[in-house]
Amino acid sequence: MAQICEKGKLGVKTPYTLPFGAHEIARARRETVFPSKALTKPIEAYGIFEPIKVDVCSKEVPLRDFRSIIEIEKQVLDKPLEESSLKLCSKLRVAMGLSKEFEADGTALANLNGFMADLAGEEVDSTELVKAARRRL
Amino acid sequence: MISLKAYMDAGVLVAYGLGHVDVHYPNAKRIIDEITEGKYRGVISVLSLLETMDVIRKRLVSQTPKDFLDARSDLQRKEFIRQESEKRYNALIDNLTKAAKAKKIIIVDFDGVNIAEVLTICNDLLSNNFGDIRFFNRCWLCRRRYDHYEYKGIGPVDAMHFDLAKRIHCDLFITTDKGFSGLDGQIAVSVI
Repeated sequence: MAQICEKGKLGVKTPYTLPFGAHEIARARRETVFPSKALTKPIEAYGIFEPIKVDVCSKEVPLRDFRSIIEIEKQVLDKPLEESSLKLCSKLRVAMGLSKEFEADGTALANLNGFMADLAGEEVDSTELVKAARRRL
Repeated sequence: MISLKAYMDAGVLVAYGLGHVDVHYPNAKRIIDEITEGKYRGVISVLSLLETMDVIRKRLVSQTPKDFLDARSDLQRKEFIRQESEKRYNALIDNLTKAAKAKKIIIVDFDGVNIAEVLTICNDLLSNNFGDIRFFNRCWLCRRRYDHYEYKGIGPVDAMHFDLAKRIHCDLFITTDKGFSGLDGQIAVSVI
């Protein structure tokens, strides 16, 4: 596990523990020139490194290669997240008395459409509902 | 294929659950539809689930007719609300976990994270992001006319959502809360 620090916008150093392989990505990233400012946005979204400025670098990477790097990065970073999500799902189901074994359902989210509609009453604003619930905690 | 991760706060889940009467429902539905179509991956945290559970319980109490609750003992009232809220929350968990297994969403928590570190970051977020003083002319509870000002800005739970979204490198933060718009840039924020 590699631990790397980020200097965030607010000037706070936030330690991030990265999964295996992230230090290789870090090395690749330091050697990479991003073709345009727009394409640095996804990298910033990771919040790990400062984006590399084009004018201080000498090497260019074709857009196709750049996309491959991002894709590999995503896979490396998302795999442990995926595994922990499924473990958490099992825990949540057991805690709610549901069966531990369950089937994948790509349309399951649609089933939640209006699942608490009978609790709505008149026209509501969910932002205020959530805030009111927090205020009363 | 690159799959963008879109963190959804509790407001999105609640709006989708409440249906047409919620002002945010059309946008919440569009987001859920896009996740179902695989345009991006939804991220839901345990924090959002807990907030949704809280909203369900409180709405159940406020929407159940007073006469019905009057006619029951305190124990019976609690049991009724507990059973009814669990029924809904179970449906939520059942569907979300099935969607997670189908790789439509990811469910996350602060597993392995030092809580002191989270609170320090939340402190920085709140200290550096002062909200707005807004005028309102209605009471949120009784909906009667009531001229007053309120402070509107991100709160500690909002900050925890945002910190968690950053930790798991989400590309997009989807919320119904306008207080987050000032944070656009650290993650792309979409206020629906």
